[in-house]
Amino acid sequence: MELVKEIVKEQSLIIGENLARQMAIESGVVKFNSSKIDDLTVTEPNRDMAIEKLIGSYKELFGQASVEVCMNVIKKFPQKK
Amino acid sequence: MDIDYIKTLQPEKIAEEVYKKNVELLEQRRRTEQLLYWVSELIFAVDDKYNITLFNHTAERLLKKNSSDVLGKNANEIIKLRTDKGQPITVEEYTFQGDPSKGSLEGAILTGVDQDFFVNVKTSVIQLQDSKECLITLVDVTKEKQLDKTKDDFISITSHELRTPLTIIKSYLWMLEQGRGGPMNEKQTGYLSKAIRGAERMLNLVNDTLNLARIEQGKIAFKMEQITLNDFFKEILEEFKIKTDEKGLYLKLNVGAGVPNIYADRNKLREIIINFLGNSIKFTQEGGISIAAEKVNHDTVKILVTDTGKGISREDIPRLFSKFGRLDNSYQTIAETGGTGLGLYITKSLVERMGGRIGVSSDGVGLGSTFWFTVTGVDSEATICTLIQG
Repeated sequence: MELVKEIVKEQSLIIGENLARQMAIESGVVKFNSSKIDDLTVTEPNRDMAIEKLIGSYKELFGQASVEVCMNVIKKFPQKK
Repeated sequence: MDIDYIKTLQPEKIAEEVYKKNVELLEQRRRTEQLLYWVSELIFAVDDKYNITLFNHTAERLLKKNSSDVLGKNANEIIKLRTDKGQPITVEEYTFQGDPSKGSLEGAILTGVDQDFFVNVKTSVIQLQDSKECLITLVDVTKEKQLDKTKDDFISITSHELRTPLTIIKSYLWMLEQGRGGPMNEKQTGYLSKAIRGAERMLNLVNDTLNLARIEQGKIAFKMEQITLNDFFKEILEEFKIKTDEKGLYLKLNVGAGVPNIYADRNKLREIIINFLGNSIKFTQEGGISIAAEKVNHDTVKILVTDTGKGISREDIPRLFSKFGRLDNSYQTIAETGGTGLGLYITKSLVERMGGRIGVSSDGVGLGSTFWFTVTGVDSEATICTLIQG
């Protein structure tokens, strides 16, 4: 899922790759395939659920500011109807 | 932010504050990157190992390469520049230069994927906290170069086409003036001589324009040979003696002792001297003209043409060697001197193409002037070998 990748990438630019990766793993919706930040597989089949859990994980540590960053990424990926 | 206030904050709040600051920094960095990325000039930067650290959108577009593929690579693998003579220019030659003149290039050729580009290059060294980078800007001047070439071609073709009918006009006018078409009265002869002078001036202008176009297009071949100055000057002075005698001017030659032979194209050298002498005679009414040659160093000879004529003011000197750089552009002067305003510009181009320099000095208006240029001196067999091989 491209949107999940983009959120993790964007977060990595702000908090660094290590932290962005750790928070993404803790959300329980992704699995990293290599050391590259964008080489990941989304394990949660439900798109909305995956995004909600991922954002929640970042919000837990960094607050509302991190949610806004994620929302800006989401705006660039309009959902297909 | 107050330090006491910060101490009261929960770790989560501190993390959020730091996060917000990082978002701000990221936005600023992105804005700067976008500005550099979208400017119309090709911009790239290298570190002190000449590896690419920045590659903007214009660079991607012209070279058809993605920045992600070239970042970290050696700039010589990606940016291939050469001179108009095909000589490669490496990135080491123009980056990190203390001397600003070495850090810029004009009219270099950049190898592209489908086409090559003419570019002007400018560089600036950026000192970072513990390293330095060089920012290189390449301005695409291909269109300007093409326009220049079209203009030169146009001038060249037009001049060629004008020369033939003008030569015919001049020849028939001359025949009429000589009475070949029957007797002419004084008034008719007067009209004819004015027409001949006009045709001659126009023909000179066409010839100069044509020569200029050839020089600028690099179409003039130079046949370099060893020349003995004394013999060469005597030959030319014989022709000019008649003109100086007519005006009551002296004409002197002084080739200093120990002045070596020179290495030059005989015809071009002749053209240069004739231009200097012609100007001196035109603008000298009293006194005369002397030609001198002196040895500057083991491989350079300076030739000077000094007159006691009109002289030149200090502020006029810089434009003397420019195109149409005639000092007095009044119709009267043009009619009296018959010059085209291209002679010294052509002379300068010829001197420089033979590897010399050109200049003039004058103490001011009415105080005469000295026009000079340098040529390669041939001091020894070894020098000749080097020149021929070069």
